Amino acid sequence: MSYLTVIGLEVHNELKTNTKIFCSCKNEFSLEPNTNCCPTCLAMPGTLPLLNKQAVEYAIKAGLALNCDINTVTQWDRKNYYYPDLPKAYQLSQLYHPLCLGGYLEINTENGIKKIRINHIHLEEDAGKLVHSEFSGSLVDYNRGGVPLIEIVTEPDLSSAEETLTFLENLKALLKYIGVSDVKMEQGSLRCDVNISLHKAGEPLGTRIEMKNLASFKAVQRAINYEVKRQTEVLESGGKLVQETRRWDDAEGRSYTMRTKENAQDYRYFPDPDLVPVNVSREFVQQVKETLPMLPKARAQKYVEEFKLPQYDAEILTSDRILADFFDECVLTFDNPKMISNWIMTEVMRKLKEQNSEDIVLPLKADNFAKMLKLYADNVINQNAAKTMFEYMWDKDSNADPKTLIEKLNLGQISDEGELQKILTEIIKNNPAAADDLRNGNKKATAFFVGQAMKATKGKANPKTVNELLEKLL
Amino acid sequence: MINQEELKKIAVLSRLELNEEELISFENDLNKALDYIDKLNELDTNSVEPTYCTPINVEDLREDVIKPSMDRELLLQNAPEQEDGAFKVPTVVE
Amino acid sequence: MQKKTLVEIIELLNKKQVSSEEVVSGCLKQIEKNTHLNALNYVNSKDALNSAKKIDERRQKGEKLGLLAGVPIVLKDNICVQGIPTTCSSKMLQNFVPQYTATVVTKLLAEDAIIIGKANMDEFAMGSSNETSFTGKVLNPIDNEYVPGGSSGGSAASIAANFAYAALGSDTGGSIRQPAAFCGVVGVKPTYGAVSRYGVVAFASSLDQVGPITKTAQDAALIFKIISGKDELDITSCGNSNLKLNQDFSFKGKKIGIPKEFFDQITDNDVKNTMNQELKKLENQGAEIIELSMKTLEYAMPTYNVLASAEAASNLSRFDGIKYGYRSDNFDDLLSIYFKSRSEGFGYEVKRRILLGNYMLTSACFEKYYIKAQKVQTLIKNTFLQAFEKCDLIVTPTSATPAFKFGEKQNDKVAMALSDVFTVPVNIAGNAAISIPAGLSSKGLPIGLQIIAPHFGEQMMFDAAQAYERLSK
Repeated sequence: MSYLTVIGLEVHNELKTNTKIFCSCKNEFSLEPNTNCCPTCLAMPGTLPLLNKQAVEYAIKAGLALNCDINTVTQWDRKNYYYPDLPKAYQLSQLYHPLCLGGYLEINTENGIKKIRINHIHLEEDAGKLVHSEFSGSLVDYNRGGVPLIEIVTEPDLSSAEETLTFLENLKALLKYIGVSDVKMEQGSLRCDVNISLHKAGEPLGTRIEMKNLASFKAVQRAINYEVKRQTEVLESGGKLVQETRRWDDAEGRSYTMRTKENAQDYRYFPDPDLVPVNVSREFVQQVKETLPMLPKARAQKYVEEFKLPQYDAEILTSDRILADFFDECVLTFDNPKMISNWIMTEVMRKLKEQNSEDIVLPLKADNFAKMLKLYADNVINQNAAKTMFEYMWDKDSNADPKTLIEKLNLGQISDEGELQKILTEIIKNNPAAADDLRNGNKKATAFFVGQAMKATKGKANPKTVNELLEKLL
Repeated sequence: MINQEELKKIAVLSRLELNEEELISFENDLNKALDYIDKLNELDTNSVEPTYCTPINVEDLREDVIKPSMDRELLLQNAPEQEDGAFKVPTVVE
Repeated sequence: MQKKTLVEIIELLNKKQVSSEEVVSGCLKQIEKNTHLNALNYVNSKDALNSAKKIDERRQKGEKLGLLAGVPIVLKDNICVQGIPTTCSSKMLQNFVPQYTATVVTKLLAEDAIIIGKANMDEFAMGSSNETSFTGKVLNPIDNEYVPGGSSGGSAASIAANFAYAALGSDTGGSIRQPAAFCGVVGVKPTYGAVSRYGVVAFASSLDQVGPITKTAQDAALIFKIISGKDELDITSCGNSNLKLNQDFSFKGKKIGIPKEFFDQITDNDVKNTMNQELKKLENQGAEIIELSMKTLEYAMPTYNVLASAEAASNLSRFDGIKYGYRSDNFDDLLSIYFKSRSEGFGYEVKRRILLGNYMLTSACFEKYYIKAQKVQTLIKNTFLQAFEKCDLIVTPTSATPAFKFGEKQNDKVAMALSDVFTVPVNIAGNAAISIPAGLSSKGLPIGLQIIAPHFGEQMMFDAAQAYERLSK
C-alpha cells in the first residue's frame, strides 16, 4: 500500500516597504556591504527598535487577501540564537500573538478546487548575509538585516509536489498582485521551508521532517519528490524516521541532516520589552481593506459577467495586476472591452513575450492605445495602420496622440471610392491574367488585388471599400 | 534545582565556557538564587494576569520615511576585524 | 566653589561672577586630587575645557545660552556619547566608542552642559557596591573603607566628591538611589517611561531608567525636567517635561504612608532612629503618618531576580566579538570566538546573571518562573496602586543599612534580606522615587530617606523632597 504525502509550508516574503522594519534605513538591495545600515540595525548597545507602520499595513493586506482574521492586539517576541548574520543575537518575531490568524488560499487541482488553509501570518525581521571571503573567513553584510518579512504558515493540507507548486505560484502571484512584495525567489524575496510526512491511509500522521535551503520552485519540486522517495524507502525497509531538519542540496539532488529534535535550539522566546504591544483598530484594518485591489478571481468574474469576456480571456487579463489595471483604464476611454481584450491578448502579449522578463513593463499609455483602437473601429484607419501605430507607440513614443500620428505616419485610410477606383482600374489593367482569375471566382486573386491596392496606397486603402469596388469593376 | 549537566547546557546556550571551578561555583550560586526565587510560589497567582505594558496604537507607529544611513566607516570603526566593508569572521560552515 | 550646588553655580555663572573655564578647571583639579576614589573611567579634560572656553565667549557676546551653560556634568559609563568611550566598566567594551549619542545627553548638551567625565560603575550595571567593575572598585568619598553603593557608584561618588554639579546614573533595582544614599547625595529614579532609554546600554529593558544624582533635590528637579519627555527613538517612553520648578509645598494635611511590616524589621539602630526622627519632623509639619500593609514588597526581590536576569541574558547576547567590543585572541573557529570572547570579556557577576537568566527563559522554566514572576509583578503594582489610594506619598529608608565595608558581605542575615526591600519594589511597580540625605550613622556614614510617588507623580515628589530639604537646613 502506498503512502499519503502530507505537506505544510512556511513561506517567507520580504515586504517592499521604503525602510527596514525597525529603523529608517533604506530597504533596498545593495551590492556594497553595510551601506544601508545604522547603529540600530547593527545592534549597537543602547539602540532600540522602532516598528514601521507600513510593514504592519502590508502584513494586514496580505492577511486580508488570504482571508485571515486580523488580531486586535499583536505583540513582538524575541527568538534567541547566535549566528553572525543576526546582530542582536535574537530575532524579533511573533510567537504568542501573531498579526493574522486562520485564512486560506484556493488552488485548482486535477480534482477540482482545493482550499489550502493558512495557520497564521506573522511579521519578523530578516537577518544579514554571509559571504565567503577571498582569503580565509566569511564576511558579514547587514544590509538585509532588518528587512521586514511576513512568514505565512500553512496547515499541512498539501498532498503532492504539484499541489505545492500550484500553491506557491498562486501565492506568489497574489502577493505581487496586491503590491506588498516583489516575490522574486531567486533574489531571496520569497523563501520557502517545506514540512513533509508520510502515512498510510487510516493511520495517524507520520514523522514530520523539515526541509530548508530551497531556493527556487524547481528546487521545491525536486526536494519534495526526493524526500517522498527517501522516506518511503526508509519506511518500507522497516526503518524509523527521526523528526529532524534537513538541508536540501540542489546541485547534488539530495538532502542532508541539519539538526535533530534532540539538538534543536531552545530559542527561549519571551515578549520583547522594548516594543510594546500594538493595538490594531478595526478602523485601521478597514482602511487597509480599502486599499486592496479587487483580487484576480473576483476581477475575472467581473470581466466575464459585466464585459461578457470568455473565462479564459478574463483569466489572462487578471493574471497580472498591471495588465488588468491597463485593461480597465482602456475600457474607460473606449467602451469596447472585447476589442481591447483581443488586442491585449494578441499584440500586447506578443510584445511582452519579446521582453523576456518576469516583470511586466508596459510602455503604452492606456488612453492613447484605446484611442487608437477607436480610430480603427471607426474605420478612420485600417488594420495595417492600427498595427503600425501600435508598434510606434510601444517602441518610440507612448505619449503620441493617435490622431496626430495619422498625419505623422501618413496612415489615414483612403476610403474615397473615386480615388480607389482610379487606382484599382490601373491595377486591373496591368494584371489581366489575375483579373481573369478573379472573374472566375478565385479567392486568391482578391487577396492579390487587395495587396496591390495596399502597395499602391502605402497601406492606406480601406480593404472593405477595395473589395466592394473589385466586385463592381469585375 | 539545577545540576552540573543542566548547567553545562545553559552555559552553551549562553556561549560561556566554564572551567571546573566555575561550574561548581555557579552551580552553588544558581541554586541559592533558585531557592530564593521559589519564594514566589508562596503567592497565589491563579487569577492574576502577567504584567503587560501600555500598548501603542498602530496609527501612532513610525512612518515609512527613509533617513540617511550611517557612513560605513563609522559603523565599522569598532569592528574587531573587517575586510572590504564587511565584518570578518572565521569561515562559517553551512 | 566646588561645594556649590548646581543651582548655585548656574547663578554664579549667569552673573559672570565665575567663568565656565574656572568652574571646569576647578572640577578637573578636584578629580586629579581624588584619583584614589577611582570614580571615573574617563576624564574629558581637553574637550571640557574647550567647551567651557567657547561658552564663556558666547556669554561675553551676550548670546542666549542653555539652562546648564558651562556646567560640568558626569555621565554613568553606560550612557553613550558620540566619540567618547562607553565601557560599562567591562572588558567587553573597553575600547568601544559609540558613533551615536543617548537622547538624555542630547538634551543636556542642548542646554549647553559640559560632559566632564564617564563614571565608573558595576559591570553592565549589575551589582550594588561597585565592586564588580573591570576598572576597579570605587571608594566611598565619605569614608574610603566603605563601598559607595552601586551600580551607579562612580556617579554618586563624583557628586559627593564635588567632581561635577550633577551626574546621570541608571536605576534597575535601586542603582541610583542606594549609592546616592550611601554617599550622602540625592538620587532619583523616574517613573518608568518618563525618561528615554535610547543610547543607554540595556540591562533589564522593562526596569531600566536614567535619573539625576545631585547635591540637592532642587538640583535633581532641574536635571529631571531637562532630560524627561517622550522620545520618538524609544517607544517605551511616554513622559513629558512639564515639571514646575521651585513650587511651594506644605506637609500639612498630607498623608505619608509607611510600609509597616518592613519598618518593624529594621535592625540597624542608626537607620531606625533616623527614620523615626525624620518622620516626626514631617508630623510636626502637619503630615499624617499612615501605616500601610504592603506584604508583597518582600517578593519584589525574587521577581526582580527572574525578570532582570532573563532580560539581561538576552540583552547581553549581542556581545559576540563580531561587530564591536572585545574579541579574544584565542579562537580557532567561529564558535570559539563566541565562547572565548564572552568568557574572557565578562566578569563573574555578569556571567552569573546571564546563566540564571537563560535558565529562566528555557522552555522548561518559562511558565514556572518567568510568567509567574510577571504575575507577581502585577500583584506588586496593585499593592502600590492600593497604597496610593490611602496616601499621597510613601516614605521609607532608602536602604535598611548604611554603606558596608568592602568585601564584607553583611553578616546580619535579616539586614541582608532587607537590603533591597525598599528600592527594588519601586522598579518592579514602575513608580518614581527619590533618595535624600536624612542623617548620619554613628560611624558618620550617610543615611538616605526615600520618597516614593505614584506613576508620573514627580511633581509632588520633587516638591515634597525640596520642602523636606528646607526643613533640614
